Amino acid sequence: MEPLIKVEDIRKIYNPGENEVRALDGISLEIRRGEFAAIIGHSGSGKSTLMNMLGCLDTPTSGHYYLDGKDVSRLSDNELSDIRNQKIGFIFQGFNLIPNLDAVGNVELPLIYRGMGRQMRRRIAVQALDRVGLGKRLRHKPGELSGGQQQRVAVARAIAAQPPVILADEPTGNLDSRSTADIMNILKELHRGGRTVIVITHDDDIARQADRVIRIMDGHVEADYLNEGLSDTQNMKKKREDS
Amino acid sequence: MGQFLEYIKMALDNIRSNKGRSFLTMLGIIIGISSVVTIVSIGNGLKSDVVDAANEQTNTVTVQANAEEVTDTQIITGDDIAYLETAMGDSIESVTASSMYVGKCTTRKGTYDAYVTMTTPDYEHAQYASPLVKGSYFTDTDLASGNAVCVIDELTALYLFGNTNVVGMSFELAIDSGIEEVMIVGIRETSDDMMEVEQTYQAMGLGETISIEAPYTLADSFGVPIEGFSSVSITARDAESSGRVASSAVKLLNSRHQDLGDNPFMQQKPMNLSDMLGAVMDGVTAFVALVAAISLVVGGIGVMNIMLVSVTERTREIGIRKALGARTGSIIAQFLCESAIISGMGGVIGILLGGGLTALISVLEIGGIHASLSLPAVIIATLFSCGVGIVFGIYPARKAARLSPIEALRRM
Repeated sequence: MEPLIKVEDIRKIYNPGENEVRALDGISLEIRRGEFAAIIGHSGSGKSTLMNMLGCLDTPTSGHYYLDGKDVSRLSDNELSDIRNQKIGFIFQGFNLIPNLDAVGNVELPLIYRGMGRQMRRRIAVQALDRVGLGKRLRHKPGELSGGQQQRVAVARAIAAQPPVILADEPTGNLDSRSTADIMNILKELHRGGRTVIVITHDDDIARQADRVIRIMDGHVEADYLNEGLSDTQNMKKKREDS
Repeated sequence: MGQFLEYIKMALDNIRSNKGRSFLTMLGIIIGISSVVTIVSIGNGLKSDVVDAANEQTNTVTVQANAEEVTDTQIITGDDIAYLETAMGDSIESVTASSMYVGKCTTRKGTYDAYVTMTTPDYEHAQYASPLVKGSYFTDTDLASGNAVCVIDELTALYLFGNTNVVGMSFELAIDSGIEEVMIVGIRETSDDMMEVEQTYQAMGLGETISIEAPYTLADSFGVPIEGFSSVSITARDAESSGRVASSAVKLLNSRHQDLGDNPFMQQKPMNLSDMLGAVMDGVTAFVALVAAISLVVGGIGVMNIMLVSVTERTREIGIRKALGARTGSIIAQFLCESAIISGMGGVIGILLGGGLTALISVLEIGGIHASLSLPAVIIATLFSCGVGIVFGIYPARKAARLSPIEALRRM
């Protein structure tokens, strides 16, 4: 079966010429449907640029990116907007909720841009919020929710439109350990439900919870290995051994 | 269409969550629209008042020699005037003809330039003439025998004698090379308005206005006899019959002067005072409305300013929306709806306020103005205010839509 994500020799070069910065310098990788992958790297490694590419927020200087069988590396801004809307569910480190909209309003945003009718949207948004455990916080605005709750609203927003890819950029970066566990559990649950989940992180503990780890350094794929066979408990043991 | 309603809802949500600021932004539009509506309404009211005033007193018509038909236009004789008077009988009030001379008159007080109206006895009741306050007007007998009598107004009496009890007194009048001793038989009232005008003239250093009315046959005595008049003014019994009176007077005169051509006479085209004044009022109103419209433009710039601030403040929101799939057009539509709604609401409030002010001015009759709300002004004001929102919203909306989602999301 064709991979969901196929990246071929992607490069992103800023300031071409004398002081050029090669944020991505020839990255190729494939992610299959239903995988739970972590992209890990230090700051400056190029992982954020890679995340922008995978999320169709940016286009590469050269190379190709096939998402769900379609080459999206040369699309116009509006075409990229449509791809993001239909194929990708974003979860950001800073939650990125709109402050004057309540939980339902935030979750239904991608559905509005999909042109879905109001009633349908409402029902899907409420279901998604219920699924992340916020069924009783539908009318709360982001300012009235804790960080963990806000991130759960963001997760609901990412899954409401049923996109094939969930792309989480440091989803737990701003959260305490308990909320981190909550969010990771939701992501794992989504994965078990058949979703493709990609987590971008600098945190080994987070990466270890994924099936597969792709380590980025200086714009290259430095390592790409499976965590297969390791359950959460085994991970915990491994962590203790490491320390 | 469904999408469009979504943008309107988004815009309304945002306006609602920034009530104070949205209202202040509207204020410029409110002031602009309400002043335009009020000014145009006042202009409307003034115009109809002025035109009504100008339309009064149209029962006097003038018949004149047709300059295209005859070379010498002084063709209406005293006999013609007498004939018209008898022939037209009860359908008319008076028939007058007059000729102006400039002369000098001398009394004990000095010598003054004078305007002498050589005319018929009916001139007593000429259009716009003031009533007699002392003595009586010169008569047909005076006219027939060319008596040296005259009528002056109170102002002239004051200039010539220092008081107005001058009926029966005489002064020396010189026209051309002739000099005659003329006796005053009647005094016309000088209206307060005329007094004011005269004072203004005096203040400007202009000479005294001496006006004298005398029977036209007196011109013979000065060696400048009047052979005929170029026009005759006929006052009908009422305004409705004035048109008929004019055409029958033209017919009568034409039949008496067939030797001069087919149509030697015509009715003088009434100078259309009401149209002229109306046009002047329209011009003044348009000018003042234009000045008021400038405040609308200023209001529009206010809307643009706030929208720009809003775009900067909401960079992150725009980034989120774009990341979630908003197209460039969606962002533009959202921001344009917002600015159009703000200025549209401002427009509606402005129209209500302007309408209220108009009603208030009408009811209180401030300055005697009967302001009437002008529907075209209201429609134009509405369209204009929405237009202002859209035009001044385009720049901020485009700025918002062009933000790169990565840049926009990076800003915290």
